[in-house]
Amino acid sequence: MSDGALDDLFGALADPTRRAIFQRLMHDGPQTATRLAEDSPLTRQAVVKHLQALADAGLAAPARAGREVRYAATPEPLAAVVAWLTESAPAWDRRIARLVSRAAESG
Amino acid sequence: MEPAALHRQVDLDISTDALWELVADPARLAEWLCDAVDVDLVPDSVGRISDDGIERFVHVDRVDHGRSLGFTWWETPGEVSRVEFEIAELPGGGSRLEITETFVPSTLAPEAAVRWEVRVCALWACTVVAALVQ
Repeated sequence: MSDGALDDLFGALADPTRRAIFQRLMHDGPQTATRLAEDSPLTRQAVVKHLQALADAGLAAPARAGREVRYAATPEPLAAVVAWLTESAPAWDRRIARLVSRAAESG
Repeated sequence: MEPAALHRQVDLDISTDALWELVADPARLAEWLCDAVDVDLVPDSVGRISDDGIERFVHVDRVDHGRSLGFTWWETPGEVSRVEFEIAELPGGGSRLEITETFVPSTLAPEAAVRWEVRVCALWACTVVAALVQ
């Protein structure tokens, strides 16, 4: 169903350069590709590609600012996945412990 | 491996038939999965599961008798996850249960979530109407 979207989300952050751009957006707030390229060895074009990949994964959102486009970090999809994992993983461990004791009773 | 999937595997000293009963009989399932199971464990049935104070809707979508059971469940329509139980016989006579839960967040798949919501609401309505007609 949305396996592709989840792959995009984690795939976007698997690339160290993209991860660095995402962190930069988180720490310094919305930035233009030009501004991001100034402080990195990447060309503006390369930064734009990374920003688009982040946007496709739902981790950044573009907004027009005059003649340029500013990108803001949108970490919500990540938070949703982490919250789910944090709740569900221990729940399954509890369920399996109950299953094991049920099986021992009926075995 | 799926990025947002949980896998668990447990080997038990019971037959696959006994394990299937613990998985596919709602009353037995409620002994270990959650507090209460109010759904027929047959394909395309919709119901509720209460789990640790949380009320979840559940939609059963796959039942392969004695072998596997698959359903989606959610507390809010935006946060759906899919659960798969797979049963296998172990060489020594015991049985193995493999559990996979995969997260389907709406923020990542708004269209899919809306489709599910509509589909499940439709199924729920059908169930209610069927119950009233009987």
